Amino acid sequence: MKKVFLSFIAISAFIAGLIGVSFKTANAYDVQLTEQDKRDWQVTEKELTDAPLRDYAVLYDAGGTDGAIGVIGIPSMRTFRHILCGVDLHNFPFSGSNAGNNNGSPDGKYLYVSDKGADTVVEVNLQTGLSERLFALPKPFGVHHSAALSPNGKYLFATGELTGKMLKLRLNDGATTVIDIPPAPSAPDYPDTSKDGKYVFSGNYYHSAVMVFSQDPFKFIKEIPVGKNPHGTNVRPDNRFVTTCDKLSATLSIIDIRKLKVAKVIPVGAGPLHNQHDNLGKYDYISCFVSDSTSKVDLTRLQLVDEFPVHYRVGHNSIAPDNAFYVSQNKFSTGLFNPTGMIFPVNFELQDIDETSKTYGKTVKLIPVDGEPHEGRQIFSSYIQTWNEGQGADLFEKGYDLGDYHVSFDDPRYGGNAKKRPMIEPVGLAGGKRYFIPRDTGKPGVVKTEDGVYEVRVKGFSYGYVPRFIHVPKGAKVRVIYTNIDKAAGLTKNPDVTMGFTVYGHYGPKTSIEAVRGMSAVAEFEATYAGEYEYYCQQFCGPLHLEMRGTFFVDPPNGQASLAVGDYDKVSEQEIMLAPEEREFIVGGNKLRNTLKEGSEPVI
Amino acid sequence: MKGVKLFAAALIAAFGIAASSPAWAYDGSLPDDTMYIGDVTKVDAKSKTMEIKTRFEKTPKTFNISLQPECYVHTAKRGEFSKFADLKAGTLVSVYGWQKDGKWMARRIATWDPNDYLIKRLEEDAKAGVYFKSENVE
Repeated sequence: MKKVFLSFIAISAFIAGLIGVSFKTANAYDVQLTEQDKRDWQVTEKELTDAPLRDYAVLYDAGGTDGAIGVIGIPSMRTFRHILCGVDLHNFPFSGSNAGNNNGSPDGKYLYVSDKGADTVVEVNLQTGLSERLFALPKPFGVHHSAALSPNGKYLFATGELTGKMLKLRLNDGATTVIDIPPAPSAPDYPDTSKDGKYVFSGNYYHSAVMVFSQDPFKFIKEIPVGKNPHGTNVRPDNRFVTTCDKLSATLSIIDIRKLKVAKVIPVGAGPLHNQHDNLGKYDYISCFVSDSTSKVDLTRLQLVDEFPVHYRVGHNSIAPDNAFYVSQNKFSTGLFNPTGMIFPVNFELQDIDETSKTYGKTVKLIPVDGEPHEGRQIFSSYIQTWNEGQGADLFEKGYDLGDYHVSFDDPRYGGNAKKRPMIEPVGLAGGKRYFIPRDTGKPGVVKTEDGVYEVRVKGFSYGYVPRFIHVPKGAKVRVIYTNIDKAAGLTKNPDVTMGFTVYGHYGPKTSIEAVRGMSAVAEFEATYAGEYEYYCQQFCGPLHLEMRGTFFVDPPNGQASLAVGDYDKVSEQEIMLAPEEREFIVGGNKLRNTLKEGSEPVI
Repeated sequence: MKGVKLFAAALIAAFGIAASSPAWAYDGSLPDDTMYIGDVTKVDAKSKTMEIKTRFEKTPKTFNISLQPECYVHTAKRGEFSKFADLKAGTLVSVYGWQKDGKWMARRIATWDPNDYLIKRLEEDAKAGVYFKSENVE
């Protein structure tokens, strides 16, 4: 009996102790929180069981060389998933409308990301979290950015940087209008659309101008000279200004949309690349690659008003949908993280831009990121519904509500079946072989080996290739041996610099090699289809990274390939990107090229 | 020679004045702007229309707003949506849309917290004579 009593006492004491511990844990939060604490969900949550694993916003980023869309929580900066799309992703709008800033007025259904390596646009369903359709762009094209929707969300405008063309794409079926942008060399770069449906704007770095097009009919109107090598180009939400980053002039050119001429040029930091407006267009945040900074311009006063340091060498950027945070998407992370391989890591840096916060202007989180991400855009997480607790059928049958707006997936596509939602897996490497060898010291150029292989030696440096032109005959077995000869000099001065080599389009998934210092990268493939295809550096290496280009000719028998001579109809089918069973989900290509009825394709 | 110097000085001064003038000046909000910020003055839930009076301008203007079928209302709480019928007169909103067939059609409406840093900044600017829609500052 005494033993039983003692056991009872011991168990009671143990339970009491546990309760005490839990009270102590709960009470640990009853402290005076600083303003800084209040911004951190890990501190402010009262109960441990709340486990606040949900973020108020989600950053989608076009993951560059990993061929995937990254999905990252804001402000936790945790990576939730990657969505496989292809080879080298650059830019996207959310479906819905372009009304507002770069984040637009989304409906939560899709995003449309450009794949520069494969020369496609991939439709990602935000609700399934999977790639759903692949737009095969007409060939030759050479897409860079697909950043711009028409106001009504039915058309997408994309730039053909690698051939000097522009494209308008009807999203329901993949029909296109393609127009040439002479004089050569011409490189339409980063587009945005006016919010009233009138214009498309795009920087052209070879012309040092912003080009202006009408949305419908889609045609060239004029060029507006700006600073040297313009890049990121964005329209303010009220449609007053277009702001464009003049990479080599270290300025932001502000174009008056009503007059279609430059209103003011503002010096910012060195190497400005991209800019993001807040929801009102009060401030514009500019990423400055060379000066390692975020510059803040007041678009009411038209003055530079602040500058925040970043770590390091920023490229793209994005802004939270409530204007509270800004993400600097940095290209180099020199010395910040553990080495995990030969290719340097990049990072995303969360900056507090709320002027009333005690951490205003400070970096509040910094994370390593996969790939070499390009554009990012953010959306409130409330747009993404819960489907994994038995509500899955509702996605297809009922849709969801955004306030008064009922969103449904009643867009009959595949044989009129709106309930069929594909989950395609575009390839990152197809029909080729890639590997590293010790640094090759052979002379640059093309030689035919004894076993009949066309061995192509290419040297890459900031900013160019030797040789600039490569010719191989159609049907040849090709071995590209690519060596990084960069000296870490000049503006970049960074040991992290990797030099990329990708032949766009059909050969994108077969090449896409990356040369680190001391090694050579090799790609072996068969030159199946004739044509003129640009090769480019897919690893950001400095302000003139985009200008690092060359041309790969696969010559047909008895002739030379050009933009007019090649197997473009065949490569436009884009079959290399999907398994045969999935190819019903490819739309577009040369068979729908120039089939839009311009002037009768309303954009508002 | 003195005359030439005077002429040159006048020319330089004229260029200086021209270069320093605000080339971006407008008469406040314009009917074809694609975004306004202001206070809701009337809401008609039945006809899905509203009226707003712009803020942070030297001369506030009134605009009639119609709703597109896809229009939705964001509240100032992060990611929270609300119904148009629940919108009250006096609420500070920004509206996003465009002119079509003589009407200004909203695609999105966002309500604002008066304590939001952007609103505070616009208030302070307006008090200092710097108006959001780039009116010519005297």
